Amino acid sequence: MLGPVPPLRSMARGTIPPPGAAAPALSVRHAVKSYGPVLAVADASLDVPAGQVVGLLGPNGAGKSTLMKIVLGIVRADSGTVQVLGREMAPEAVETKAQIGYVPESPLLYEFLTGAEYLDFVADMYGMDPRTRRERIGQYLTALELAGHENSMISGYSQGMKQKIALISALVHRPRLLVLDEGLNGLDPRSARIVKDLLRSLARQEGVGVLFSTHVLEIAQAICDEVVILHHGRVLATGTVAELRGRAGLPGSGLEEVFLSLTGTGDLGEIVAALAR
Amino acid sequence: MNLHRIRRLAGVLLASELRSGRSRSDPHSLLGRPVILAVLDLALFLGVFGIAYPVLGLVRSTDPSLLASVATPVLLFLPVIAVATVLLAGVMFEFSTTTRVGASDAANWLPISPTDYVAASSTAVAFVYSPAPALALGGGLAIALVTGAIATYGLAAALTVLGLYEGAFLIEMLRSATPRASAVLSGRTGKVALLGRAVLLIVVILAFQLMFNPVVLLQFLGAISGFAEVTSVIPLFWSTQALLYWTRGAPALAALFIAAQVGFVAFLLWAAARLRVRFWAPAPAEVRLEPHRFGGGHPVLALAGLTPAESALVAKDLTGFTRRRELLPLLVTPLVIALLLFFESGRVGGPVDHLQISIWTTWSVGFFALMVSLTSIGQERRSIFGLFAFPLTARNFLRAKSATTFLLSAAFAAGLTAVAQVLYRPPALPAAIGGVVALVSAALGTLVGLTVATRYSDFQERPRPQFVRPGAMMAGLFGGFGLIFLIAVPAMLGAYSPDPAGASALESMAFAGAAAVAAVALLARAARTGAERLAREIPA
Repeated sequence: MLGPVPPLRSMARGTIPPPGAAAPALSVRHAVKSYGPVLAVADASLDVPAGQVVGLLGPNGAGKSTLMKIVLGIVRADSGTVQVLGREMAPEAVETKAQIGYVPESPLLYEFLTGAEYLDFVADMYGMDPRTRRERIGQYLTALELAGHENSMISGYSQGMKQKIALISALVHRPRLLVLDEGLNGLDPRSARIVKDLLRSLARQEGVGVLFSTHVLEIAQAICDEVVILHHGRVLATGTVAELRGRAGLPGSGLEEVFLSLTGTGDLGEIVAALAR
Repeated sequence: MNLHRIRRLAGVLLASELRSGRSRSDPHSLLGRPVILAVLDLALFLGVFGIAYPVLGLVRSTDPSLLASVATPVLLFLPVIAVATVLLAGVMFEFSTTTRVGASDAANWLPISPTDYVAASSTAVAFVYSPAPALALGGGLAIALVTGAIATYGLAAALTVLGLYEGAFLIEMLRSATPRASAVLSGRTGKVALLGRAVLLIVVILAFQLMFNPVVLLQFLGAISGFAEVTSVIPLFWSTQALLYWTRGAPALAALFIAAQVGFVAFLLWAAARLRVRFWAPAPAEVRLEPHRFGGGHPVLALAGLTPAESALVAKDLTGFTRRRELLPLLVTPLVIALLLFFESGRVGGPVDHLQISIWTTWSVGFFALMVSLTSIGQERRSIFGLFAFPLTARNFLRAKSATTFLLSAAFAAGLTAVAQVLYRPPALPAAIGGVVALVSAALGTLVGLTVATRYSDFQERPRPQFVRPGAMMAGLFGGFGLIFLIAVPAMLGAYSPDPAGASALESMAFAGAAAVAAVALLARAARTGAERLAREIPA
């Protein structure tokens, strides 16, 4: 297991507010994004307070990944604003980007590099000093059982190993906002548990804000302080799982029932029966 | 063979190439459908025919002997032109499939036999490169009508289609053979092993290009033997032999060579299918390296003024050139063309044309820079999203990409200039000026390529992906060639003039220098705005 997460120290902070300051880790207001005639994100607003894990749930094609890319400044919203740690997000906002860790839906790695070379490359991108990067990368490789594989080329890794490398590259610089698009995809149960515990620990102890999209509702229920349900690019509901249960009129139900009810896909019996015929 | 399956799969592979870089295009649009190639072929065929026919009619009325002396060779070599086109363009464009995509080939799990797959894939390749033979056939028809060689033309056209498949089957063989070559060192350790693998792959592609290239074969073998002897024993020329005997009124011998050519193409299909069976699902090579030293830095690149993040990007891209199979043809193709031009310009025993050699050297360097820079952004594939999630500005990104291309091109320029120096011993002053012009050409190629690549790169993972949209690639290449010639030709004419210090020579060189400075300034600005646009929104 990872040891206690050391305090944030080595990254140049510039004018970014310090942890605990009033600004939420992430604030999205009225984000709209269309791809031609397809409306991917429609007037979506959400907040990720510092020190909280916010789950972003939605069916396939709901706009989760697009919204996350807007947050990261790699897709430009047609309208609306995104503030990260109190600052406007823009493609050239490198100081802000230095405070974000991102795990994409499928790992975007350079497969011709070894795991160690790739992580060193990422550390270069964040301007980390050699000693810190060596220590942290070693710590993460050991915790996620990649130690001993780091000098093999990534092209030979399994999907889960690639996901671990993507996770380490998002965590290695100790970001203040973590954006994880299906971040636990392909992980074995032990590693998934470590990552879940780590995310909670980073939020509680270090004040990191975490935006976490997932299809696995049990994971959202287990680690998220708050859940945002996105459907057809719109935010359908926001709140804790208990609040959403109340809103859906399903007290005592699991998140799955609440989700299906809110997204209007609750009555699946007939579909399943038709498919089985 | 299941013709229906072959047709369907070929259609899908063609659509994959045609829609390259246009992820949101309308799938029903004509531009995304294979039929557009047929339309293009027809337009080119009719266009060239429409121009050539009246011109040749005029030539016949003024100088009939000239037409007669040109007509027969053109018709005889139509099939060989088709083979050469597919081979050269195929090596340049058909190897951008990554190992990962190749390994999980979208068709592997379907009930398609290796022969059907090879036939479908070759049909797609042949169709993609058919516009070049369509041009030649349009001109050929004009010649045939003017000279009355209609039957010969019909035979040549049929053999040209066969030639397209001949080249495509050879490309399929190379497609299967290169993963094998790249897996040779699987399990070995060390960067030397990886470098060795890259060199091996370059040698495989280079040898293949030279072995099956009609220009090289004719030039080398022609030196030791007569034309007839050479073309009789090399299958690549059996179509030419068949046409030759046909024009000489020996239909039996023509039929014999046609049968032999068809048999050889069938053999290539069989061999390509066997190779595909052998390397059906190429496993990624498992290569372990010695323990990595974290935070080692890149002192040489830092000396060049690059930031740590820019240096890391350059180092990553340079590493990619030694480890990524799909990038190697980018290095090999300009080398093949440079070698061909060298052989052509400095034939053994003949007079050496230093001016011509220096211009081709400069052009080859520019071509190399264009190939690398045009593809340098698209080769990021989907990782481009991850890259711009890092704290990296458009300026950092552009500086890194420019540095990678210029470093590689400058090394290529140095190598080529050294080879020319050793082989042809040009005079010192013009050679030195040639070296400078080659570096200018590298800079121009880099900037033209990046101007295009920042706007028209293709980041999609597809069965047949390209790093840059094909139309943009062509525009970038030909625009770059034009600019390089505009600057290199006056510079080298001045350098090789009888009086290099004379007013006329200095004027030529001053024009070239001023044009180079202006072009570099304009292109640097264009590339920068392209990079800024890319950073603002990466195409989905």
